[in-house]
Amino acid sequence: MADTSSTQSALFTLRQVSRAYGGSRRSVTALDSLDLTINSGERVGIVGESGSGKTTLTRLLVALDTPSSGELLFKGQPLPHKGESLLNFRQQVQIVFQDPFGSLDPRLSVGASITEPLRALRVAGDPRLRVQELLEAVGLPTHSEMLYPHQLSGGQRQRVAIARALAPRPSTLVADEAVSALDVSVRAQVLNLIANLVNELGLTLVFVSHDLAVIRHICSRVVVLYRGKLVEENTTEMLFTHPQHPYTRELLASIPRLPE
Amino acid sequence: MSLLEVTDLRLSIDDTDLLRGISFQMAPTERLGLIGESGSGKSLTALTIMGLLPQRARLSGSVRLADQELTNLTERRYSRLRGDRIAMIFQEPMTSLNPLMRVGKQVGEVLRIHQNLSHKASASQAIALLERVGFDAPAQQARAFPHQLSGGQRQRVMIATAIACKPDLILADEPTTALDVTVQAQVLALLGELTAEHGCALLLISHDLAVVANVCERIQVMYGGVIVESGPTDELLRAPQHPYTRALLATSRGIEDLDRELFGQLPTIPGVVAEAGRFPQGCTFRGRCERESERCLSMPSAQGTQHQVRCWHRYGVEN
Repeated sequence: MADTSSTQSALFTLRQVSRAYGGSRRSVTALDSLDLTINSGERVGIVGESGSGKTTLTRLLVALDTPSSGELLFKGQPLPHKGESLLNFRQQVQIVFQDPFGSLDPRLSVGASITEPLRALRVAGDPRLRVQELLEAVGLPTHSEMLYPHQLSGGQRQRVAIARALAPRPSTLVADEAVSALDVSVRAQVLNLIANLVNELGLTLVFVSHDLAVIRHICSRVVVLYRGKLVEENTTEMLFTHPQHPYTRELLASIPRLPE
Repeated sequence: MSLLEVTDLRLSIDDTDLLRGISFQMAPTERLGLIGESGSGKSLTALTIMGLLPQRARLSGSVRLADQELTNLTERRYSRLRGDRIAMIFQEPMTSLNPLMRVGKQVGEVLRIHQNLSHKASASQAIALLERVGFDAPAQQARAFPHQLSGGQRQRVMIATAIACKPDLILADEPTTALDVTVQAQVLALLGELTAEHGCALLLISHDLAVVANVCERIQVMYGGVIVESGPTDELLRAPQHPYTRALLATSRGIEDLDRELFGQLPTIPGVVAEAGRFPQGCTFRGRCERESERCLSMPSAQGTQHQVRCWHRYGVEN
């Protein structure tokens, strides 16, 4: 009975989810029997290094890929693969990628990039008005609507990517290394922006990063992946003060710190 | 006596000013950190020292390595210097290693070229070097191709190549940025150890203040093609005088501070980094600076000796 009640508030439920790549003979298991629940309104950090499976997990969560085995549920239902239900899912779950230069179409103006998901997902309302709202929300001047990605700095491009993700009014934002490519002096700006927007809009946040220090500022719970397995999961505070798994401890010890 | 002396380096490509008067010195065996964001000119400074600028770059000023002027060297003479007296380690070892050559052979190549070692002698030296940088089965791993190694291992191969000829100076441009944090710590420790062991100087370039602070005894901060502040690491971290250094330190400390209140706002630097070559006239930090005044319309000169700052409104100093 306890299980049913927890699935009700659960946004994502993963049961023994695995994802293997390659043929049956030479397959690589990128994600191995993952059990994880992400509740509505939560801010979950997913940390791990290259090869840990964090990108694979991200792709599964936003329905860009499907598990090889196991069960992946969104609001108690299997993730949709096509049709109206997929559009509906995409309206609710949006993603911001690491490199906005790679994820924004260089031929589309900022305004066109932001309205694209509105048209694609058939979201009602005046798209032009929405663009102005969003530009303001992410701290860009309203005339940036006319600009193209190459005319913007890295931090501004990432703001556009965030605006585009928020355009269809999703309930969940997935950020995949969203600040990793940014300069130090703008990284904090964008982190603050994401944190503020998540608060104001009451979003569920899945924040994927290799950087524990960044995760600490934005997430209330942290999941540590190592070689495709979930090795530790705890509230942010507990994970930082009482890390259990040796790999988590190593991660914490490796954060480069400024001498006092 | 300095090992490296860079004087008033000015560089422009296609009428865009990228370096705007860079001067600094490095003592033999010194470990100097060069900090800056994208477009600050830190990588171009290294490429200038290595003589690897594109043809259309227009350069003035001087780079002297132990009293030899480098800026007017022919390519032929420069290539004798590279790998032998100055070596460079780049960010992405996958693009700087030859994918078609076994790594042992690549490490040995510098020895064959610069020290005229035989194939046999260079091969056995290469294995010794691979062992020194932490390969546990160097004889077998020397036969591997770059794609068969992990990112950290590839960067170790680059380090082995760089130290092979015991150069006077190693330039390392973001050597650990592409690596996982746990591997980054190991590679940085190795780099520090080896430069000390061979008595070579290290110019470590990074966007990450913490990385540089843990390896280098002196730090130089670049912004917009200008060195805005330089000084001994502890002093620069304790009492930064340039508003940019102070702001950078505050944001870096803000993000990495594991004791600060959860979910609080992080300290930020307002504004955006201007594109390379589009920096304002006068002080390069104009437009983002909290202490800006009309004086900042002209470029301040460098004040101080050990601890040098280019600012009209230095912190902690009567201006």
